[in-house]
Amino acid sequence: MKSFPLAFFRSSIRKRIYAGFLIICVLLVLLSLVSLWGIWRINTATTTFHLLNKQADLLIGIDQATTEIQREAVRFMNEGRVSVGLSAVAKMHDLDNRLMKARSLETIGEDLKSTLERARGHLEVYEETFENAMQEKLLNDSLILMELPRISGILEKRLAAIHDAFPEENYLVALFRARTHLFSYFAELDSTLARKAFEDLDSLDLALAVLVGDDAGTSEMTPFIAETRKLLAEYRERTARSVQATRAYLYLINVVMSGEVSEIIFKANQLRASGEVRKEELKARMRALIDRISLSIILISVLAVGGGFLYAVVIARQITLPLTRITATLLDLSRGRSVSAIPGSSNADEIGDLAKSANVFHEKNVQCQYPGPLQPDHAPNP
Amino acid sequence: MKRIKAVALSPYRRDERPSSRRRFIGKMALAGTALGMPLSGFPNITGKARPHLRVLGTHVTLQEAIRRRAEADLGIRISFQPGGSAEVLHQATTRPESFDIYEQWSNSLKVLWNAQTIQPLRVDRITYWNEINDLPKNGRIAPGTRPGRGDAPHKLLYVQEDGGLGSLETERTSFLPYVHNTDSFGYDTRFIPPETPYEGESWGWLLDEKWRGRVALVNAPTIGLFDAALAVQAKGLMRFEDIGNMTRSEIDQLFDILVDYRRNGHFRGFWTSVPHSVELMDRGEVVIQSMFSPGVSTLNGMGIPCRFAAPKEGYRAWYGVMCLSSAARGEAEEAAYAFMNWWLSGWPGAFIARQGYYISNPSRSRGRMEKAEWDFWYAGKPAAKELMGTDGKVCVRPGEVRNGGSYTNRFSKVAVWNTVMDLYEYTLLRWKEFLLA
Repeated sequence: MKSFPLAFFRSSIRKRIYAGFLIICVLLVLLSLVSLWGIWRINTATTTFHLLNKQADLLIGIDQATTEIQREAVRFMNEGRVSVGLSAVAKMHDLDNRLMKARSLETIGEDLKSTLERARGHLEVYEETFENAMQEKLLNDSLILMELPRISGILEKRLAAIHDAFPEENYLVALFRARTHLFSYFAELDSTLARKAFEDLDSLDLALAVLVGDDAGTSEMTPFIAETRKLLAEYRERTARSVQATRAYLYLINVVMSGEVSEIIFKANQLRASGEVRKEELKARMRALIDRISLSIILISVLAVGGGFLYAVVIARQITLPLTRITATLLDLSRGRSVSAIPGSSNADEIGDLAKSANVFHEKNVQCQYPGPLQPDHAPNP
Repeated sequence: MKRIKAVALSPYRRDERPSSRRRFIGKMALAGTALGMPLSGFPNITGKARPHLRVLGTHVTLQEAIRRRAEADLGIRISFQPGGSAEVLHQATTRPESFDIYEQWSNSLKVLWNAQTIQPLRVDRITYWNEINDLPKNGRIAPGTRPGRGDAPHKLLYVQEDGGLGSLETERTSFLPYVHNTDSFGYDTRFIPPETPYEGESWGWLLDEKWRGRVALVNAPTIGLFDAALAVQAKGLMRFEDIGNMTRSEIDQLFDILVDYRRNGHFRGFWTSVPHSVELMDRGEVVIQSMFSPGVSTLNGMGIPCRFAAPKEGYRAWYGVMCLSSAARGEAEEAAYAFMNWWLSGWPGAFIARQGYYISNPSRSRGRMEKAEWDFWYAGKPAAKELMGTDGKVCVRPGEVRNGGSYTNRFSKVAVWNTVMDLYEYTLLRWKEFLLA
């Protein structure tokens, strides 16, 4: 029993041509469907890509914002200008918003969320430290510019008065020396100078105490000296506070805030790297998708064009070859050559029918050329 | 989302700082007249109401278990005010009325003494004074050992005749010596093969090119600076005349070297608290870094094989100081002395040993520790069984030996103490350059 395809290819040419058209149409429809699917997939993927790309940009942007903050923060640390410090803090707020925004993204993994959260923690410490550092700075400024000169001025007058009463020793010298040491400390940041300032003040206080203890003064000078010692103690306490404020300010700015900025930069770098990796992954995913769709379209197109071509060749050959053979046979006949039979009569299609019909003519022709005994009713007319 | 927890060094952390702490203290002070109880063991402070003691310090010793135990033992009310080292030092130097006891490390002592916010302690009121070993008294754990450079505790212990601090024995001290330890660096043995203590292990490892990008230091110039200096010296990159009190040119040279390393990406970063140091190693960002003992214990408890090195160049050591506020008077002063004496009474020393810290009179704590604990933590012998840390988790496995050996052995090898150098302020400026290089 002949299989379906073979039987089909021996059936009517018309049917085969219609079937060919049908197959090509189906392939074209399939191609269109695949193309439509591809367009739809690319569209949705592009939307997702844009979204994820924006998110990756957000992570990368965090690093860029951090670079600006670093610049501002370092400027503040170097110059100590409050306006620059405030500008850095304002930028920190902006960065915090970015971090919060990035953290709220659904596509962000837990690890990245934790990094974002840590970066926020460092920002928080930075801001709080900034406030404290500013307090120390303002306090120190007020001590150095107002409080210490004020007390020192009063002390000068009082010590001058004591010197007038007790000219054998100049108590002012110790005060001036302490002041010089203190200012040298602020300039050189050498604790030994601060220590010397305290030693000067302590020795001055001791000298005044001796003065009172010796009872060398008149009764009216004793309370005056006691009052001066109180003032001196106040001056010492303010000086100590100023040294402490200087240390605290320097520590907060140079250690705590710098440490936080350093960590923020590191985290921002991590986020940027993560953003870049995400971008690369997205690109790769997009490329893979486009490749897949392109491949599908190419395959179906090749199938449609190749299949159609092959089908056309097969059908054409099935039509033209028998026709050529029939034509050649008929030409031979027309040239008077003897032909046994018209080829193709075994075909089940229209060409077979044509060959069979031609065969009938051929057989009739042969019979005419080699006539047998005439039958009465077929006898030629005279 | 979990934030970085417990900032022990970096101050002013909102989530760590008890935001309403002062209000709380105020309220508690008002309510503190209730439930007066006699103080067991301290009959001299049998007030009508329970005295209230305010202790300002860091997280490493201000632990809830200690507070509860002290309250129970002393019958007084105690509030702990833990914070970052800079934060508490700042508070102590500016507001002596806000605390009764200040406790931190000896490197904060000069600042406090100059600010006159602490008062001398009377030796005759320290019950176990005679039990305190020689280390804080003359700087030597045993005769013939070197005391170490920098602010060794004995140099700041006694109040001298002129009101300054010195090592000449007097009847008044600036602080009560209590917890102390030797510190070094910790390394992950999965990446760095362990070497023989005091022979192979070296501070120079911190600058080994092999670990570029995976090294961290503690962000504290009075501590981390010495780790870096010891590393630079061990690497042979420079030498210090006195590592405990560097000159300006030495500081400049040191920071020039460090900044170069930083620019080449050698340092991953700078940690600001023990949990931060744990996190860095736990996340695999760091394989070698400055470390404190509780951090090493925590990592070991987490199954991360972190080894606390015993460097051949010696340790960086520190001493815990407990100081009395200059504003503490009467009942508060009595309670403060009671609390200080309690710290040396045995149980606290045994408790704190479980996080690797030593107490100044170890013999009294010995009776409160299991033999296996004493042998491991103090005697440097192999652990006879699993040992628990202060958090109740296993931190020492059977057979393990404390790196560096016994208490005496470790404190015989102190290279430098945590120190506030004369040019401390200048180092702060250079430290910033290093951090942000």
